[in-house]
Amino acid sequence: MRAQSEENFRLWAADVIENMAASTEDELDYSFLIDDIMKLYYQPLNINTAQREDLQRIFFLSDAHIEALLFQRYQVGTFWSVYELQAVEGFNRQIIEWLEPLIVFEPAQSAQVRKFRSRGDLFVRTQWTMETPRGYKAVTDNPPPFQGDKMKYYSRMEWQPARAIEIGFVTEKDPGEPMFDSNIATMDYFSGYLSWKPERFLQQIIVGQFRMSSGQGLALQTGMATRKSNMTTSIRNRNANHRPSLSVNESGGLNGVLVNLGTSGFRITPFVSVKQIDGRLSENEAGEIIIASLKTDGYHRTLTELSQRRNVQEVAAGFMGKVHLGRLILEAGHLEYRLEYPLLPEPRPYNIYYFRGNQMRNSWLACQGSVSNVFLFSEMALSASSTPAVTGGALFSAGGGMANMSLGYRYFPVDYSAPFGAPFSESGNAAGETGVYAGLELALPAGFLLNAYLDYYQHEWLKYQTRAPSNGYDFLGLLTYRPKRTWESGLRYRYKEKTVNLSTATPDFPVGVQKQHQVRLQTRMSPDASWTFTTRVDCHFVNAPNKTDAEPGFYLAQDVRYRSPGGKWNLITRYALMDVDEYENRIYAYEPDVLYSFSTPAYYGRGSRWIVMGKWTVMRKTDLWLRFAQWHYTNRETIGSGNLTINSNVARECRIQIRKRF
Amino acid sequence: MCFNSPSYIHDPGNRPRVIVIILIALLHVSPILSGAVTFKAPSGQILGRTGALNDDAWSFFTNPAGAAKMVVPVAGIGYQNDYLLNELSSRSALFVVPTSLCVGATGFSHYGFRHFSIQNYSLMAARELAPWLNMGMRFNYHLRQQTGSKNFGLLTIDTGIQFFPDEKVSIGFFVSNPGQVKWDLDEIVEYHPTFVSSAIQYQPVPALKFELGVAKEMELPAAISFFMEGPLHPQFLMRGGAATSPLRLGIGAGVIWQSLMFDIGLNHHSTLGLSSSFGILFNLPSIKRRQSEAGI
Repeated sequence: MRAQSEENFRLWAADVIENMAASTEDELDYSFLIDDIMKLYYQPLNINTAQREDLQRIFFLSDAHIEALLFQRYQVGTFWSVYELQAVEGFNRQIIEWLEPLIVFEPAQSAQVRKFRSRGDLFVRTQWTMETPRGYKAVTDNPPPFQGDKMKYYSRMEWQPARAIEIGFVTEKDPGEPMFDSNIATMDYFSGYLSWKPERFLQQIIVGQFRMSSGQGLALQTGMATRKSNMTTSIRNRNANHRPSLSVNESGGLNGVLVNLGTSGFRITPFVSVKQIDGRLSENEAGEIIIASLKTDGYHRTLTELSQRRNVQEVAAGFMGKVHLGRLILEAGHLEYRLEYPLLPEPRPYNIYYFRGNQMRNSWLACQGSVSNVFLFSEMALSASSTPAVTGGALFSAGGGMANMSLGYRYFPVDYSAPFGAPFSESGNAAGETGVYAGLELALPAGFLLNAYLDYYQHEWLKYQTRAPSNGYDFLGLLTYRPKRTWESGLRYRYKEKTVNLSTATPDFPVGVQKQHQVRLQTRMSPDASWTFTTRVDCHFVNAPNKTDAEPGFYLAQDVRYRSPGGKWNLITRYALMDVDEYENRIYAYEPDVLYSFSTPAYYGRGSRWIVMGKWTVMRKTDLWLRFAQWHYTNRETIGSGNLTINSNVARECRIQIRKRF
Repeated sequence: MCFNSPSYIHDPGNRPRVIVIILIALLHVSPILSGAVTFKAPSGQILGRTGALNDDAWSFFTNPAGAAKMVVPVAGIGYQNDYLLNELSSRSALFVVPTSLCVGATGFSHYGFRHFSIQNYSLMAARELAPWLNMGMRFNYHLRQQTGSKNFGLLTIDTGIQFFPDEKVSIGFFVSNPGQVKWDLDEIVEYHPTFVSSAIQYQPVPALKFELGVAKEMELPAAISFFMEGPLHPQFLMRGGAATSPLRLGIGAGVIWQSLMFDIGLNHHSTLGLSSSFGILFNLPSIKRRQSEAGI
């Protein structure tokens, strides 16, 4: 049951992740998505005592679902079995099936007397590309640019020796990075945490790496930002205010001490973080050291990258307060941010409003609450900007949970800057954006479900690769057909219109409108607990102002998953054929991967992709994953660029992971 | 239709390991091999159909999984003619034998004319792994002959699955040349075509079929196709189809007469004109069935 549920969550997460990957160029750490869920496996929530914040950890429950569940519990008092959840507004069979392994049905007073068992989870992973990229090869008399070998190593451990104590660490070495030598004494990335929850006035202390989130993430959001996805009505930030973190995202996190004080009605959380981060250093005319740009990719493979490794100290300190006033929750906070050297990017028209200097501060005020069946949320945040950034919205349901809707508004001044901010927005750098969002989720007769959103946005200043103020809109419609528990099909259409640069030969009209049409048809059949078949077709069209004869991008893939009876082993295979000539037509597809690793590569080029992955429970509480994947292009002689160039049209990758639970 | 009555179904048994090993072999572990379809079946590809959901003996030339439910031996011959040009014609023969382990088949097709031809020799195995799952695999040996040049050979595999999420709905996936194998023609190396297709079929009532499919050959634009088949008489089937890239319209028929089935299909291309395909399948009396009828 557990193994099956784990697969279900991953399938669900796949749909969400694909949309996120398609809407950002940044590499995101998607493990945030299932981190909490995995913890709930081992410590299921008592559905009769769970608070709203606890339920928010379950990412497939919408706000409307949570509201309906709490209301139903208020009415019936105690849930005794999973069958009673069918009476909750908006809960369909799929949600109840997914929820079942994450919850227990116990009287309110029994949770505290349940015997605690210590729990630990250790992962060790390695992966490598069988072909050797150019960066690992010596050229004539010059040594290879990459100082390390092509292996990637990753380990992660979480241990809860007592009910109130959690310990964790994570290590990582990327391909090409040296380790245990004069360049890097240990592994490139090493982090961890110690968390203690005394459960009195002192609620929690975290020493080490942690993530924070407040309000709608305008000023503080170091977890995963809320983004547009198939969950069209989920536009509110639902991340927990603070959590220990084992993210390997080397920039943007917090590392220090966090203390959470207070009662259930009022909490205050002071924190301080001190980190060494990467920067491209330079000198100004006065001979002073400045930061030309911050380096956020986390790679330390070449001598240049190694010279930029952790060469800037970043200090962040602040506090966050939270008050529960009945159905209203207020949050406020302040953050002081300081860099060791001033950040002074080279002036360009698009970046003249970017933050410059070495000191920044943000303050914010947020509130959320419900009135009848309408859930409202908003946040206002200040930076050095003369006007505050504002975001807000409403979620409401109608027809007994048959229709859920969301409305959102956002305005970020062009000179707004927040080093740890990541609000719901169209672009990665939200400054200068104004937008309106409307989302709908509508249950239709005969097993149909319609999800749709429309997002209009405009940028009041130039952006990187957009040489003029711009606007655009983004529409998504997803019609899902689920006539029975074992079969689900979906037709998705996405239309996106945005402003892009034209060629430099037309200086009078620097930008034009690019229109993207994306169509996807997917069907998934799970006839029994063992088999899952997924067939998917994607077609992307782009009408670019300077490209009139672009061919559509095409992708057709078949996945087959088999899980042995009893779940001792499983096997997943994929064969995909792609034909994508234009980069703008690239197609993102979530790939089967080992637990806590997510790959959503962009399919671009002509050729095929195949993946085989197996998981085997070698012995009790010990799992082994093996994964093999291959790209085979027919229209390329080489793969990659720069030091990552492979002189072949085939690239093969192996991945091995071992998990030990204790 | 009655010609391929699904009354006999293999007992899949409880053999998950065998099934998965077969599955892996079918879909992915053999990408070093490849295949191509040169004969357009009269009940399938000549009508613009993708071939992913063929379910008669002509599956031998399209998705091999489609033969998994065959219950009696079938022998067949076919002739296909592109744009009514003899030089672009194909001839084929096949023989399908259901066994308790799987449905096996062997066959041959010959494409071309005196100065250039490609012969395909194929062996196929298909099995109904569960009432909702058919899988199949085909090994092909292609022999290329050209006047003034030596002969070249290539070994390939085609694989496919069909699954049935509902009594009225079928979904198929078929890939030919998953490993993108190349012809090594001494002075030039060229890819053998890789072809992938998927289709969904709806049968509101038995024997009436509506099918929507998409097919893609690696170097060509994707083609979307629509196909329908319905009985005008218990022994007479009408078929029609349309496919894009470029637009082609197809019409065909199938006639069942005693142990014989005659299939014919015509395809119209707006510039190049008509293509045709014709085939005869002979339903050999099954020993099992004869024993059953004789009460043995």
